[in-house]
Amino acid sequence: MKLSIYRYNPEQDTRPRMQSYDIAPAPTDRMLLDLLLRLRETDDSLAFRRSCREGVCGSDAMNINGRNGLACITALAQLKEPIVLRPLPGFPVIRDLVVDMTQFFAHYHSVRPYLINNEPPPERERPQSPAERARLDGLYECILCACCSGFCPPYWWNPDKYVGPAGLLQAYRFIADSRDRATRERLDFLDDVYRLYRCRTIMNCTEVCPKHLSPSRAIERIRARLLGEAF
Amino acid sequence: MKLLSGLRAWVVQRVSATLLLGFVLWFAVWLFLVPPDSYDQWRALVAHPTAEIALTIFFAALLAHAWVGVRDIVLDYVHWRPLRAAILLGVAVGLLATGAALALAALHAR
Amino acid sequence: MPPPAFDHATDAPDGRSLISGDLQSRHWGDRPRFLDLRHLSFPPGALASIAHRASGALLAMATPPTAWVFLRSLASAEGFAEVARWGRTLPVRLALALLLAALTYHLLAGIRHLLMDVGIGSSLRAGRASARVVLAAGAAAFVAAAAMLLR
Repeated sequence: MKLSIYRYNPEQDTRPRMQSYDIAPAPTDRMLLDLLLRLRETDDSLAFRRSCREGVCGSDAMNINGRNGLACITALAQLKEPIVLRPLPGFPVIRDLVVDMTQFFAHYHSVRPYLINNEPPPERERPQSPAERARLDGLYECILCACCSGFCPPYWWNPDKYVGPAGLLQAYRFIADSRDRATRERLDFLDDVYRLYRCRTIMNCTEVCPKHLSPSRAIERIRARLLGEAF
Repeated sequence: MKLLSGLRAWVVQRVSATLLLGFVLWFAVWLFLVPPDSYDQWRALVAHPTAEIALTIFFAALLAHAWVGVRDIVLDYVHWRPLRAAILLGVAVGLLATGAALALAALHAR
Repeated sequence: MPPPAFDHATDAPDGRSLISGDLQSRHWGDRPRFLDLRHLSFPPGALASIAHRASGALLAMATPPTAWVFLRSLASAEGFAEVARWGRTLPVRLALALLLAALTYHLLAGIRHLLMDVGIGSSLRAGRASARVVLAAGAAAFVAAAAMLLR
């Protein structure tokens, strides 16, 4: 199979370049990650992150034939050749397909992605009805792979000021949590011309989420909440 | 709502959009059904009290909607603060001047 | 006043904020970024969105001149006649066709957004489908406007 992969080694290259590969997959190679690991048998200079190989850690997010996705759950049979691999768009490239996720995580931290409840803790757990728990479905499953934020044009233009779909989805995960008591502060933080309101509902995020979540819908819900709180 | 709220602009954009939608459809239908053939017909059409009120709200909504839209574009693409401020100021002046011209013309016509 | 404390969550190792919004944090580090739009595959929603922006920008730029023409047509009978004369020239009719198409597209795409705001059509499938519909309608509007005004 033919591949064209983005290569950049800061110690050797002044500019990134595309390198072609042609490698025969083994019969057991079904996912793109399998092929990449096989590729490293002949060229071990190629750098990319990977871990769980089953689509739950989010390490191997990359741009595959123009769309973001996880290499470990992208089937080779579904890919047109040459398979063009590039790093997540808009993210600083450390080397080859490895990008710097620091700013992405900074946004995640900025929305305070943890339960805030200063009421005296109950004897056992903080109760939550099945209906209340159901409101977290489609939000808690995020693996922070950054496929969404890496495909979001407003995030490309303002990666420092716009929180991005991943951060906003997580922000909503806590706004929607019945046990959280910081809703007003969370909404106040997001009510900013950049932090939340750069979103133009392009829906690129929802298109590429490998866990089939909908950051665009979460953002829609945050906007509805902000509207509701104001009037 | 904070001073630099994003919600305010979004609400203005959505409300003005809805108003503009209504007016554009109304004006389109009206002009299609009763196209003015002469200056007197045209003037009479616009001078009608309902038309005057509609046009006032229409232009106010249009200028507000244009402002929020263009501001969004500038905020997205212009990152150098002094340039951004200058462009936004220019756009604001342009839209305000348009509004002033319309308002003054309406007042003079009375 | 002491400098703000280092925030481990949101500051770069050198102390600059990663999310403050000054120019430095946008180009934090001198690493390259892949952002060549020619090598990205854009779903229909993305195309619908950029067309919405382009049509909006066009209409916004056309607003002051349109207001000026509107006032001129009302100022006097000569003004009205002059505007009617301009409206018969080819360049003006071309511009009008373009603006009419832009308006139609912007309106339809705008309705799509307003519906999504209230939860209608905000699923992935519905969003994709509605984006295609709006783009097709926009193309049709352009053809219709051209045909109508360039007779």
